[in-house]
Amino acid sequence: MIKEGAVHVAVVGVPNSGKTTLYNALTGLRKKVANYPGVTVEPSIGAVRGVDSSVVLVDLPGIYSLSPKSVDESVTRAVLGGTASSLPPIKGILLVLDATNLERGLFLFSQLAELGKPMVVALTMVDEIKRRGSILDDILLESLLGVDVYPIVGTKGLGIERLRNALATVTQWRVPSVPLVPGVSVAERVAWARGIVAQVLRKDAVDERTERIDQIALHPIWGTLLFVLIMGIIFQSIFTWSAPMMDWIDYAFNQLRTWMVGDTLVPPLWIDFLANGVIAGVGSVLVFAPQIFVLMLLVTFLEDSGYLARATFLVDRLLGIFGLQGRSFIPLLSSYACAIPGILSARIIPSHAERMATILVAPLMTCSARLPVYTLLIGAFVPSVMVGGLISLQALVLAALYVGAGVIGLVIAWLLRKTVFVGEQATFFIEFPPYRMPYWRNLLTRAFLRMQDFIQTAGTVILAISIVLWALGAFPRLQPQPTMEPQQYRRAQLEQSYAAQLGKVIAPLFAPMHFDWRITLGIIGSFAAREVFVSVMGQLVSGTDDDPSNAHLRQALQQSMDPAVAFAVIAFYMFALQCMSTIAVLRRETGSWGWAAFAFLYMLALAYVAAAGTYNIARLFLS
Amino acid sequence: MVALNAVPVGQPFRVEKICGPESFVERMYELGLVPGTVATVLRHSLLGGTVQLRTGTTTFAIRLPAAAAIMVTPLREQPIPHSCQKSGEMTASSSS
Repeated sequence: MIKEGAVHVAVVGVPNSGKTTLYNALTGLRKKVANYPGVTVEPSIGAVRGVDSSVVLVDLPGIYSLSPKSVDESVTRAVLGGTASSLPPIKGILLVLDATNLERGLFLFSQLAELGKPMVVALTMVDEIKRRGSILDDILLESLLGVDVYPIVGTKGLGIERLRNALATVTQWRVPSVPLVPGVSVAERVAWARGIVAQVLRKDAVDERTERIDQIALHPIWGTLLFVLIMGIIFQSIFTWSAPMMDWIDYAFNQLRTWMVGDTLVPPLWIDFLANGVIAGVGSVLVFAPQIFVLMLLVTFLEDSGYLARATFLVDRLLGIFGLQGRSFIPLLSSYACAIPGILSARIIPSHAERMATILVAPLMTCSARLPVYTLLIGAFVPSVMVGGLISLQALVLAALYVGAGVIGLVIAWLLRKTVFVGEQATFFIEFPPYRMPYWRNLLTRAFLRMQDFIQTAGTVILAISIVLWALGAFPRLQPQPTMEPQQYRRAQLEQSYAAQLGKVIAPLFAPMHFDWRITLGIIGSFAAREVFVSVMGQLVSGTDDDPSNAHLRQALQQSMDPAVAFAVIAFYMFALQCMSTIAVLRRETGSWGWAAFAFLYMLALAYVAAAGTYNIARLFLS
Repeated sequence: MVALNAVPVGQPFRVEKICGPESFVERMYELGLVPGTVATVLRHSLLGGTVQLRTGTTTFAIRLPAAAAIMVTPLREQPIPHSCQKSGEMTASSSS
C-alpha cells in the first residue's frame, strides 16, 4: 500500500477547515493510523490515489497554532520538525485554508512558513464565500503568500484533480518566504493575517443563514429542546439502527457454532475450540461493529454540520463543573448504550486532559449489558410494591442505579481532573463553524475507518481474551457419563473447570460481601460480556435457563442466595469494569495498557467497597 | 475599562488588555482577541458559564473565568477597523 521511500506530505489546517474531507478525497480508503507512541491523537497516513509517483499524505490533527499548548499542537510540531520517530521526514506541507475563516489559517501559515519547507495551499469553501456575496482574490493571495494556491469548490470536489497532479511534483513546490521576523509576537502575527485578509477579501461577510439557525439552535428554550431531541435520536439510534445488524451477526455466528458442534454431547476438542473459542470470539468482536458505525456516522454528521459546537455551548457549564467540557456529553451519553462506541466517540474532544478523563469514566455509565443482571436480581430480591402509589420500588431501584452511575462517574471525572489530568481549563474555547451540509462520502469513510480500526486493533485483543476464557471453561475436560443429559453435562463441566477452580480460589477475597464461588465464577465469565453472569447463574442455580425474567431461575435464586449478597452483587456490577472489549478499547484509545489497567483497578476498588458496604448495610436492615 | 464577563449581550467592545499566564494570553490572541480588536458579545449560554463572541466573521465562545481576565472598553459608537464592519453596521442600524 505505502511504498518504501515514498514522499511524505503533511496535511495541516485549523479545525473545521475541511482538512479531513480533502484528505479522504485524495486518499480514499487506502490509509492507516500511524503509530505515534505515548499520545492519543494519532496522525493518519494514506497514499494519494491516481498519481504515479508514490506520495503519502500525513493527516495531522487540526490546530490553531504551532506553539504547543495542546497535545495536538505538540504532535503536529513533532511530525513537521522530523522528531516523530515513527514517521519519515516531511518533504512538503499541504496547508488547508478555509476561505470563510482566513484569519486563523493565515496565522498558522505565518508560523509554518518559518519551517522552510515546500508548501502548497488548498483553499476550501470558496463556493461558500460566493454564496455570502463576497469575493476572494485567490490570485492575489497566491502572490502575497508566495506559494501555489488551489481553490477547491465544495462537495463536488472541483479543483481536486489539479491538486492531485500538484502532489505528484512535490520537488517543484515553492518554499514560502518568511513573512515576519521569526520570534515576532502573537499580536503582530494576527495583525499581519488581518492585513492579508483585508487585501484579498473584498467583503467580509457574516453568514446570514448560520445567524438565523443559531437564533433557534442557541435559544434558551428552543435550543434546549432541540438539543434534547437530537441527543435522544442519537441514543435511540445506537439501539434501533444497529439492532437488526447486531441480531443478524449474533444469529449467524450462533447458527455456525450450532452447526459445527452438531448433536454430539461432547464435540472433539478442535471443534469445541473453533466453535466456542474462535468463532464465538470473532462474533463478539463483530457484534460491536454496527453500533460503532452508526454512532460514528451520527457524530461525524454533527461535527461536520456545525451543530456539535452548538451542543457543546449548551451543556458546557454543566460538564465544566466536573472538569469536563460540552463535548464530553456525547461519549458519556453513548456509554449508557455501550462503552465501546462511547469511548471511541471521545475523539471529538480536542483537549487531551478532558478526553482522557471522559474516557476513563465512560465505562461507569450503565451500559445495556448490565441490564440483564439488574433485571434478574432486582426481579428476584426487590419487592414489587408501589411507592407512593406512583412508581414500583423495582423501577425506582433501577432508576437509582442509572442516575447514581452517572453522578459517580462525573465525580470521578472531577477527581481525575484535579489530580491526574490537570490544566487546560482556562484556555478552553468553542469555535462556531458556519452550518454546512456534510459531505456524505466523508461521513461514510470516517465511520468505516473507525469501525475497521476497532476490528483490527481492539478486535485482536478481544479475540485473544475470549479464547483464554473459553479455555478456562473447557479444561480440564470431563468425560461424559452415558446417562447424562446435555444440561447436566454442561453444568458438571463448568463446575470442575479451571474457571470454577479460579472462582473458588478468589472467593475468599470476596469474603467481606460473602460472594461464594458461583458468584465469583459468574464475575469471571462476565469478562466476555456482563450478561454471561445470568447464564452462569442459570446453569449453576436453576440448571435450565438463562432468561433474566425467568420465574424458575428467580425462585431458585431466592432460595439459594442471601438478599444482602444479591444487593452486593448489584453494587459490584454497577462499578466493576467487567468487560474485556472495553478494556481492549481503553488500551487502544489511551495508547497504553497502563491506563486500561488503571481504569480496571480503580473501578474494581470502587466495586469492592460498594459491594462490601452494601452487604453490611443490607444485613443491618434485613436482620 | 471593564472585564469582559460584565459586558451585556449585544454590546460591542474593544479589547484592551488580557491578564493571566502567558499560554492563556497567547491562546486568546490566537483566537483574535488582540488589544485593539473590536468584538461583540452575541449571547451567554443558558446555564451561564460560557459567553459567545464575534470578531470579524469568526464566532467563538470562552468560559466566564477566562472572560473575567479580559479587560475591555465598551463602545458606544463604532470605530471602523476592517474586521468589524459587520458589527458596526448592526450597531448603527439598531441605534438609528
